[in-house]
Amino acid sequence: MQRTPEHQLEILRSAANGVIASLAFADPPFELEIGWASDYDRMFRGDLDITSEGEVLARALRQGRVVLVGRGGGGKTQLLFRLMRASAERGVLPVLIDLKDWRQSDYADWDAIVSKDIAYGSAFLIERFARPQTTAIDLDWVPPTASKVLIVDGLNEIASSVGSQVLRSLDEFVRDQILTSVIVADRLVRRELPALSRWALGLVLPLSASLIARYAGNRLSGQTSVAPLDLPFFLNAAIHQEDVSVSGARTHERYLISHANLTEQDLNSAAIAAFQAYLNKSRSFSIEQFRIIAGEHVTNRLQNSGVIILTESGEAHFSHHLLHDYLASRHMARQNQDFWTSDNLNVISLDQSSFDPLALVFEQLGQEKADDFLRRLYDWNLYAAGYALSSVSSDAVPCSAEMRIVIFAMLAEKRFDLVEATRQRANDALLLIRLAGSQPFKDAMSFQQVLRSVAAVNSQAAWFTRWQALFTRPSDQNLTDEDIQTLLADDSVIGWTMANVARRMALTEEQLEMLRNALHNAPPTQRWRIVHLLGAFPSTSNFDTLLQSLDHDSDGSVRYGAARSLAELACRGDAQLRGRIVQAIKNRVDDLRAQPKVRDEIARALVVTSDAAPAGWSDTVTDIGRTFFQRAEAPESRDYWRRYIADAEIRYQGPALAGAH
Amino acid sequence: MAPPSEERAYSPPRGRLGRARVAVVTVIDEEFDEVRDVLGTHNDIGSSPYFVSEAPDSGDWDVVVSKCTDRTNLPSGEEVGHIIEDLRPQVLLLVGIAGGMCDNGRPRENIHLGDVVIANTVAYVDFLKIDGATMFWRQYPVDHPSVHLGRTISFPIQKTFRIADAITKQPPAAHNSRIHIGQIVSAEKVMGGLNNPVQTELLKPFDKALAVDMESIGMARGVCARRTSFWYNPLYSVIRGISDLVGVEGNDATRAQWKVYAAHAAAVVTREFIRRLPTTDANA
Repeated sequence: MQRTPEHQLEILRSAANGVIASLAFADPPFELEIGWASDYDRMFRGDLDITSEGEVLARALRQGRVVLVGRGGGGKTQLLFRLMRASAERGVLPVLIDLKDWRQSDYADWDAIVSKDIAYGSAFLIERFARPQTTAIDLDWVPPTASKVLIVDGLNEIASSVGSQVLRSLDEFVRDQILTSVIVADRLVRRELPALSRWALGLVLPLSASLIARYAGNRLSGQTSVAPLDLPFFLNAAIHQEDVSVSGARTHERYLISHANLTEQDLNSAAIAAFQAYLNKSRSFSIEQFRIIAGEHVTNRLQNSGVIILTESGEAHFSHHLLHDYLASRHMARQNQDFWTSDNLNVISLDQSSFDPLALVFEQLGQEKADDFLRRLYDWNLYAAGYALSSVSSDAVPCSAEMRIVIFAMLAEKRFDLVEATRQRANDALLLIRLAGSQPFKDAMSFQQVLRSVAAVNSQAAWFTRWQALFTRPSDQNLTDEDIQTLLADDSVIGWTMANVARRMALTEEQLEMLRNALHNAPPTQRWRIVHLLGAFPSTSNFDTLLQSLDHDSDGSVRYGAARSLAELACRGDAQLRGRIVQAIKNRVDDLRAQPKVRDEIARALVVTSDAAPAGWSDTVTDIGRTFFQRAEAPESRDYWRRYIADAEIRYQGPALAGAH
Repeated sequence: MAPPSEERAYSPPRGRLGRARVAVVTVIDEEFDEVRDVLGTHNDIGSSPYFVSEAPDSGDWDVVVSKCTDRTNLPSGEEVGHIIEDLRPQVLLLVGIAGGMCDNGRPRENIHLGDVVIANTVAYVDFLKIDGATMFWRQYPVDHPSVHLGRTISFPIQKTFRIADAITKQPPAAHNSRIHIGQIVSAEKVMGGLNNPVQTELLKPFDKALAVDMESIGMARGVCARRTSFWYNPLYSVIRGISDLVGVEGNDATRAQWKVYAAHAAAVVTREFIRRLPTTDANA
């Protein structure tokens, strides 16, 4: 180390000032308000302590960690730019970590690094993404009296599971490094933050009508209540184009037409290329590949207008991820249902990391297609359907009122699930939806109240009244053979509803046998429904069948569903069946380590609500957890299972310190 | 800008809440109460789990006492991480009770209930991974208790400190407490209680350990993991009063009877330990 600490600090400060000078600050700056909450529950409920954005840096320096969540286009990146500048002005050394530069190859590097220890990840993040360019060890070499802040953007641009690891790694880094803090921008989603009380949790609030009026003056008079003007990205576009649309997608379209001088046909070509670019599961892409698909003049216009930016490494990315999302969503919206497969939904959402593109698809559809799209989303990920509904305002909902009720009701039913994580996720999704008619489903204190809310809906739509009758069907009715066929229907909403309704009813052994046999020939989605249903009926036959699906089904979703149902059978069954299930899972610990999604689902599904847990449930959960613990290698993984076991003991036995050393 | 050759010095670094010379980590209520009473740390630093004897808003404290959120190594390691982030103490002490190790029911090295063990090394049953009937050796990066503190404080204390005179609590049975220096092995609750056969089997290889607890390796991992800056070099030690004898029938009842006294004895040794540490306080 040739430099003195003071010299090192001077060099980094100078470089940081250079970075700040290069940032593209928006004009006007759209200063934001932040709603602070002590946990995600309060945040989703809107129980917020509102401050100006000036509070962000103060909280970061005081508490060490801030996570700022908000919708795409909510102004997070510009806020981070301003925080870079404010930090430097305050004498705090700012370092920008921009994860938008994350490439496909970074996933493998990341996995290799954090498999040793999650704490290793921060050194990789700094060396790979930091601006000014630096390393973790160089940052430490500044005098111990110097404050530093890492400002992290683009967490929502990378796979969700990696995003959570990044947060854990940053948490470790600011714990270790003297006078170091971190501010992270994230999407509007609940994360398992390490030591939540050590994080300040801020919601980037939409612009108020008065702020919109202040920034837009009389240019948008009469339109200040129009969504999505409360999001800075769209307000900025509206101010500069003097053009506004009730739809985010329409605003993007107009922007690209006027700014990049593209025709409708050009947009369609660019849309195909933008969708294909997401096959890499990254916002970065090869400009040459894009050019081959979109064509020379379209690519040139996008580049020349600054919509597509080339980095020094030769990779390309869009100037704002929403423009990329829009183009990819435009392609998906133009296709028919056959294109809306699980695979393609995974592509456009970057493996379920970002639901923004799905919301944009939803916006662009007419009512009939919008209903169909929600059905497809429902089949793929119910919470994505909820997110799509949460992204539109009451005066611009593409789908039918009936379809909304279906999604509200399906989410509300899950609020009373026996698995804690399912309840929590359903609650979160519902709380984000601001549409008229959602409130009774958010407020329902029991599933009976949900049923009453569904029954109270008046509709002339034949499909809806059929669904309504099905959803509210009394549980003392018998299941008919026709119902079994309904369960296997192509219509995902009807099929899943039938599966859920059947779970509330008494099925004969013959009917269960029929369903078990149907697993041999049914397509994956139907198999998933069947294994979901079998979880509600504890029996040796169902156990054997679910185990068979867990071991041998070719489809990941079915194995995932079977894992959940096995946990449910253990909870609902007698001690003997529970013992067999525990032993079966323990026997498969090594196999399950190779299927982390399925393994994690078993772990999650075992955490049932306290009132649903049978006597001795703590032993069941800890026995399985202990086996995973014993076979885990990495310290991080062993710690995870230690914590899992301790949490289960506290949840089902209460904190007991008797016998402690 | 200073030339490279110029020498300079910095004060010990500060944490988010301030700076402490010594941090004492306890686990159960009895340990926390005894340490707090013996050290006189009755003032809570606002909105924090830390207790000090000086003004809570000082920002520069001599001794800070905290209590883990739960027993076992994971919470103790996390607590160490929090304390280091908040206060950057130069010395950390894990203080409380432990079980005395026995061979065939006989205490090792004549260790007795109410005695105090200061660790010279720490070991961990989780270094042994069980796969079927086979055990495999695994290692985590850990720091051992400071050799420097062992030489300059623990050893002199053992030889010169009259612990029996300093103890103000009556033992449950007549006994003059003594100080031992030796290995402490950390068990892991995830493997079952200390009377669990698996745990008993896991303890066998540690034939020289004097005591067993469930938190020392958390301190060892925590300090090791947090020693990540050029500017910070924390030292630690573990001080344990013996509350029961492992593997001896009725040790739960014995622990219930002796834990307050054992925690008190450990707290008394801790006070002497801290007194012998260097300080910048002219009035000390």
